[in-house]
Amino acid sequence: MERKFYTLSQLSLIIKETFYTVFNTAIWIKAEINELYEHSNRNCYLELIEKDVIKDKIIAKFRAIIWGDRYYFLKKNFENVTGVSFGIGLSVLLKVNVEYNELYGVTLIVLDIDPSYTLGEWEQRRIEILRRLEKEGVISLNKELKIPDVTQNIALISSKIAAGCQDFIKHLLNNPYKFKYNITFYEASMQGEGVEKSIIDILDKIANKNYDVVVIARGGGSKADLAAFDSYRLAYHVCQFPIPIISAIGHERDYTVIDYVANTRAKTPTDAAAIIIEKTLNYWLSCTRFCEKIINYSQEIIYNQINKFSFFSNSILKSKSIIDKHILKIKNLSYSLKYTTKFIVNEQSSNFTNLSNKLSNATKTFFHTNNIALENNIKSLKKNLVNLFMLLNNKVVNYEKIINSHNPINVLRKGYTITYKNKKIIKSKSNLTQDDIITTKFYDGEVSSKII
Amino acid sequence: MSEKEKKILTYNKALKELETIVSKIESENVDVDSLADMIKRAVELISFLKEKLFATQNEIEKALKDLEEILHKEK
Repeated sequence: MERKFYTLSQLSLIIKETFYTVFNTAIWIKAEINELYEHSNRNCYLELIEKDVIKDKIIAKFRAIIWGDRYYFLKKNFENVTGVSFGIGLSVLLKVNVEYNELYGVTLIVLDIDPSYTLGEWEQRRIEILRRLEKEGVISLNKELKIPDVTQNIALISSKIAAGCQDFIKHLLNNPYKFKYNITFYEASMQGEGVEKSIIDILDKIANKNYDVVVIARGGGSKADLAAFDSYRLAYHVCQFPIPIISAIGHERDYTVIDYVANTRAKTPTDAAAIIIEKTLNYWLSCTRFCEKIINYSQEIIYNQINKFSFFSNSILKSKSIIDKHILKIKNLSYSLKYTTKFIVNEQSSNFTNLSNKLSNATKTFFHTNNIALENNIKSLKKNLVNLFMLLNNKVVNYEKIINSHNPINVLRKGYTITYKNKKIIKSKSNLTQDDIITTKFYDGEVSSKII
Repeated sequence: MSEKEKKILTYNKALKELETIVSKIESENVDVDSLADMIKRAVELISFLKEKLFATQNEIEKALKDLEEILHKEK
């Protein structure tokens, strides 16, 4: 059996016939711009994709062309409406003709772009993020924090090249009240894909530091650049950040998710600075008011006290004059007393002197007289004493003589002896018998003898 | 005479005792037995009296001398 086959051109022809029975009119398609190339011939070549949001995987891909004359108008219109430059990453609604070409396959020829769809898409995404945050119960956490009355230490997350960053610093530091602020600058990517990661990294780094407030400043830019701030992960971090955050990301009309969840939303970085300054100013003013109140109250108290005191001091002055009078009187009295006393004392003292002289003389005379008498007395006493002792002595001597004359020893000396028998004096011979032992006492000793 | 007796004995008592002894001896009624003791006692009394007299005289003379010195000084 002979095989039947088609040439490629025959196949193309078949496909083309089938193709155009289906795609005989233009259709609207929804897609994301994955690649964009503006050719020098002014045509715009696009790669459109559809992503599986959950798996983050491309599940469909088409080539598309916007012809040069049309591209210029469509781009201009899109950018006017959305405020975003037409480019990669945008989600767009396109009116296309689906064309098939033998050489290039299927190509979408873009006839129209609906910019309101893109806007709505963003809005939708934003709403979804906010809903999720609300569901998770974190949406108002940063809002519930209180920015201190006096903000001193400020962390500024921005990009050096962002105009808003310089606006913020200039406005804050050149404040007319000369308030002092410490700004610590943290460089972050403020546009493109790096925004989310770089800001989250900084937030993680400074969460434990001693800042009063964190300002995320950007300042202007296209809407598409702002889309980076419509990030769930970034918003989630901002919500739960322990320090109040002021978002100053866009211009007046631009809102991002971060603006919704941050503690305070400033329209612009300059506005953020103004908010901080105003807070400080209010505090300063309330302090000043307190000061004034304190001054007023204390003045009032002082005046009251002064009034009281002046009343007292008047009465004190009065009493002082009375006292002065009394003092004068007392002085006069004391003067006269002094002089009178002196006079009396002088008089008395001269009297005393006279008296004492007299007394002394009298005493002297008295003593002199008496002394002589005394001396005389002593003399006669002495004489009498000598006599007395002589008398007494004579008496004793007399007795002595008598005693001596009777002393038996004197008799013994004369040759008498005394005879004892058995220590008894023998006065008669009848008291003695033969063989009696007798003792004979002489003046100079004794002898014993026997009676024959 | 014991030291103890010397302390207790006064001049007057001693003199009276001596006078008694002397009057007894002079009355000649004394026997020789007691005479020796009496004489012994009398001698003791006499020496006591002499001592006493001498000491008193000295004391009095010294006192008088002091008195005279005081009086002379006051002059």
